[in-house]
Amino acid sequence: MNIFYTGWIIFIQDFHLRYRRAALGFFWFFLPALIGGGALITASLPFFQHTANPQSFGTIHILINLLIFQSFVDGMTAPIQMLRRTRLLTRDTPVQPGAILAASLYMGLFTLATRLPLFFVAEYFFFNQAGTGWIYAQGYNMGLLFLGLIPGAILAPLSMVMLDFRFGLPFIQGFFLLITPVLYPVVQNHVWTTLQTWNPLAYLLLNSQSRITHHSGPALSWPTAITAGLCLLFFSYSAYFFHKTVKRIPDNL
Amino acid sequence: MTTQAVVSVANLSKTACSNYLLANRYLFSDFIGHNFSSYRKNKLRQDEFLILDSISFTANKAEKIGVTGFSKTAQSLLGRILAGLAMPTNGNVKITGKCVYVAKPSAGFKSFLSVAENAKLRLAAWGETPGAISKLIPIILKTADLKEKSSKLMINCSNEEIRSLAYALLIVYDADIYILDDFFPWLKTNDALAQQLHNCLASKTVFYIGAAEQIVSMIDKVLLLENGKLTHQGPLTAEICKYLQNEPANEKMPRSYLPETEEEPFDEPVGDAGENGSLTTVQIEKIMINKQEFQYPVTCLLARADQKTSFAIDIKALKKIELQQVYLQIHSRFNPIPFTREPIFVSDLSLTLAQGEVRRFHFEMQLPAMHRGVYGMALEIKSRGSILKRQNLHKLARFGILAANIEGDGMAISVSNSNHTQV
Repeated sequence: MNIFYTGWIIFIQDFHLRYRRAALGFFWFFLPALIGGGALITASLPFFQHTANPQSFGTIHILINLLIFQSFVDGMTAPIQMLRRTRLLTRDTPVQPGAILAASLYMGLFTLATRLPLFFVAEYFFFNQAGTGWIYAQGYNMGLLFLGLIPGAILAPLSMVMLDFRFGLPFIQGFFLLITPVLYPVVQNHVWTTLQTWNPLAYLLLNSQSRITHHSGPALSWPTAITAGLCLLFFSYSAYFFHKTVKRIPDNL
Repeated sequence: MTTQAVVSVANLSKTACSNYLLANRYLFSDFIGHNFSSYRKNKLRQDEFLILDSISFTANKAEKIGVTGFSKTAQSLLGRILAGLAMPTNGNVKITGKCVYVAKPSAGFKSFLSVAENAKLRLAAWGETPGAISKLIPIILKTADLKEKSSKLMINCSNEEIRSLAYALLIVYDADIYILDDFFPWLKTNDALAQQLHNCLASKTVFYIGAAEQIVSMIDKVLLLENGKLTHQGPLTAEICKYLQNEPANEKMPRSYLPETEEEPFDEPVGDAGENGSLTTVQIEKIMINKQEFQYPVTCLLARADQKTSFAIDIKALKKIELQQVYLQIHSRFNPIPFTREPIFVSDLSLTLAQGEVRRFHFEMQLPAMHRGVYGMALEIKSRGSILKRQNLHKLARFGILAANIEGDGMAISVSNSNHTQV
């Protein structure tokens, strides 16, 4: 399991390296979360007193869903960012590709950790309850992060070789955004209900949301469990693909 | 010496493509294809050529092997393939034991990390366990005499300190196979650490990659690469030594060690060169690039792909000559054979130069963006139907064609000698 240690070293050194030349240093890493928190609080103020209003309630849910869905997006982009940033190292030292993938996982987890205050803000300010739901929600968020790593591991080496994959990344993210009930509530439509039943992202997202909103999320159904199992299988293939292809990336890219 | 083979390479081939767009497509299809065991790529596709062609050799334990050849014959690429940093297109590489590839002293070190952090990162990348790293770091710092400077940023370190750290890492890590690429300028330093490294390498299998005259004294066996092929492997003979030692600037030397060559030697003066030989008939005086004057030779030129680059080359006639053609030709970084046998930028003329007369020749070119990469450039001067002077300019100009989105008009670097650089 040396790859996890090597990945940790790579992540820590990359983290140091990234902000060493910035006057604000590591603060840059937390700044997006702080700004996001500020924006959330500001956005919540008009709705604060009117959570009974369905329109404002829907807006709040969309904000929270976007916050949760960000874990999946982070998981997808982390291997691409990490692979690009470690090119200098991997060009001269035979780093195991698995270590880069592990570093991506740490990067995603760390980004998730910086967003923890946002979940607290979401729970406390929107629902006016100081509970521990925002902490429990992170379990599902980690699941989303893990699911994001699957397409991320496939896309990372491909995007190094063909820029089309880098340009197409927002569309892929948009596709997953579309098939997951982030911007719209769970629709009682046969097609969408089936889609959401088979989509493990929907299960994780709705359960994470339910922890914050103190409502009950969907139970784990057989279709979701089957798809989640397939995702696990596909993760092992994506890691294998990453391992095989990273070494084939030419130096000059 | 034992005869246990620690490195065995069989039919190793590596292809490259001279067409940038096609190269990316091939790379993509190979990316996908290599995930399936049924994928076999045996034929060369359009614009593909072999950088390494059916290389086979073995290296025994504690053997010292030199990998050499003329510049840009993919010696470093072979080293990188052995170290697992690059993948071959075909063939098998079997390595027994820990293998370390080291290029120049600063390679792989991150300038904004401290000495200790860099050492830790390097060891982790080499696959050391956390416990071993925490034990090795103090030893490395002590060996490199950098214990008090462990938190010093690499960017603030002197070349000597960087070299010490690189030496100490190699000594303490204790690998089985060392691949040292262009390592010699700093190996020659006669300090205690260098001596310690020499002693450490004595019992190891070492591949020395680099210029011929630097490795001759260190090796048991030489692998001579020419145009991607392994043209000689075995012990050093006086003939090969002479051949290797004369490599740098002797343009009268035949291009290939092998007596018969299918391709026309590229930078060998050919044709009717006059009484005093081709090299003394004309002389390049100076070069203007984008109206800026550079001292000859220009060793590095970066041109924009989206703009025209103008060249003005002053040629001085050392005796009365008739000139027919002066043209520039571009060839691949890896292969001295030009992409096309046709010249790319031609100046057709028919004039007579008197002895001592200097004439300026103008060339204007816009390089195709698809040819992004580093290339060599050659200037040829033809007189009376034969080539009067063929100056292989990968000594003169290393040619980088940049993407269109850079700022400025490109850049040229003129190096008057090895110690002074003018930009």
